[in-house]
Amino acid sequence: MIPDLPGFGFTSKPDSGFDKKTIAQRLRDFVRALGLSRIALAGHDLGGHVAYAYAAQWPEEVSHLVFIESSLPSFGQEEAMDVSKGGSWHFGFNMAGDISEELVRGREKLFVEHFMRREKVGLFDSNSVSDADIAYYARALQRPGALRSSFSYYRTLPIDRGDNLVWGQTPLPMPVLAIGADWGYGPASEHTIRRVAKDVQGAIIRRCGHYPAEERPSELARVIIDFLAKTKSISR
Amino acid sequence: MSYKLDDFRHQLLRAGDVNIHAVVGGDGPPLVLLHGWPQTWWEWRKIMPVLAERHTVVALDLRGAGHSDCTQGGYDKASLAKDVHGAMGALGFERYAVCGHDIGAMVALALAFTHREAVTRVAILDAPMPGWSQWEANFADPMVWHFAFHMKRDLPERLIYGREFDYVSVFFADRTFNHGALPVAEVEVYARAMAKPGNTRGGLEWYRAFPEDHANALGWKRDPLTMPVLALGGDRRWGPKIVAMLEEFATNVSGGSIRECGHWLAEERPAETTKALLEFFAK
Repeated sequence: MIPDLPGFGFTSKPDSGFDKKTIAQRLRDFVRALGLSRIALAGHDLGGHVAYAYAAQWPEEVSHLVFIESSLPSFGQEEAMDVSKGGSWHFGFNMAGDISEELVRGREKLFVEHFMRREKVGLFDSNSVSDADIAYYARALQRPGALRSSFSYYRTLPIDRGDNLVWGQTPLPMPVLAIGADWGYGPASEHTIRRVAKDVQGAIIRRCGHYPAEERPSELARVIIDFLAKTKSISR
Repeated sequence: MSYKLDDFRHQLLRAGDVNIHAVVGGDGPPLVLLHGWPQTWWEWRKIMPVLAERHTVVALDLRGAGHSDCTQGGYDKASLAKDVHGAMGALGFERYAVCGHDIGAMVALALAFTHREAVTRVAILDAPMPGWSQWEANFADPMVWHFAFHMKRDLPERLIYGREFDYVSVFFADRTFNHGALPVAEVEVYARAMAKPGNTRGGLEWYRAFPEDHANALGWKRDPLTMPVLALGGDRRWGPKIVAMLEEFATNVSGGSIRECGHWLAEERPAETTKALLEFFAK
């Protein structure tokens, strides 16, 4: 099952509730609406924050966690947000408030293309995501409320920081696979998740930037399938 | 930007390899005023006439702003300070007092360190200084999210283009206590100045030079300034921290907060700002 998270794509764009604790609760409602109770869960980038919030709140309902090119507030994210330590400008920009929407409105394609093809952690092969793909994401951001929702995932990072600190005191019990890309975050995803989980394996995908599902789809699928097949989860 | 003040003359000054736009008037010992971002010499308009009763007042546009040149490089604060010293020399002033606000305050401090013999007194208005012990920690303050945005190359120019007024007006509003002081027509002056080809980039270059500025200032502060320094801030912005901050750089610091004031001292509280500056520069 591959949902558009709340605020993204064709999923509705709520007024509030963009902290990852609330997003994870909505995601769990979606899972239960499908008649499922226990799932393997994979999250990329901010989706990794959501996946962690889900696994931390309902550990018995998550058989496996796959954490792809992601970080967590309180457990490594702060460094990525601090330009004086080599972090990225876009956290502060996305969090700034209405001015962020105002500057990006009508320039969504420029914005999306910048991130996917940026010089740091962007695509290793800039053609592995086509102009049509970028236009598709840009159109999704052009829908009313989409920019606000997307930026709201960033504006709630300070709330997530507090929630993560509480959850982080109890390490995740399920097997976790942390996947990094050598031209993306590298080993940082594994370093982060090791601080909040006890059963962690790491994998690095080579010649790949921050978007492995699009740049190295077969390699990514293979490491996930192998992990799910070979790693027995404690059944409940 | 055909904005003029009675009894002041506009001129270009040759400073090294750049042309610097200056607005000059008054009589008495010279005082140069250095504006910040997203501004020009115009930020001093309310206080220039009174200062000019006792000083020869020179309000400059920094390299990258207003009618001064927008060069490819040379935006570190030591280079901007060299521009200021060159412009003052072109006017025939070897020794002078300096007052800077925001980015202009960083330039004023750099000028004092790199031209100690020329600078008689320094007034620093409402800004964090590169080299300050909290400089790097300050990047985490949500009020300075724009530091990181401006330091990013190329993209901010594209996002701001055509939306200069939207950007500048939000930037002012978020840092103002006395909102009556900055009506739309005044904000438009700055937005139009930013929309001049090259000026958006010029202003952003001041931020892109921060790593170099910080490294330079860490070296300078090992030999603190001995001339008098006035450190003034709005009580709603840098006022509570600014004296202790400047004491890291200088041995003779006075100052504090201006009450009920945000970041824009000379526009939000012109009378109080003028009084503090005149008292300091008269000593």
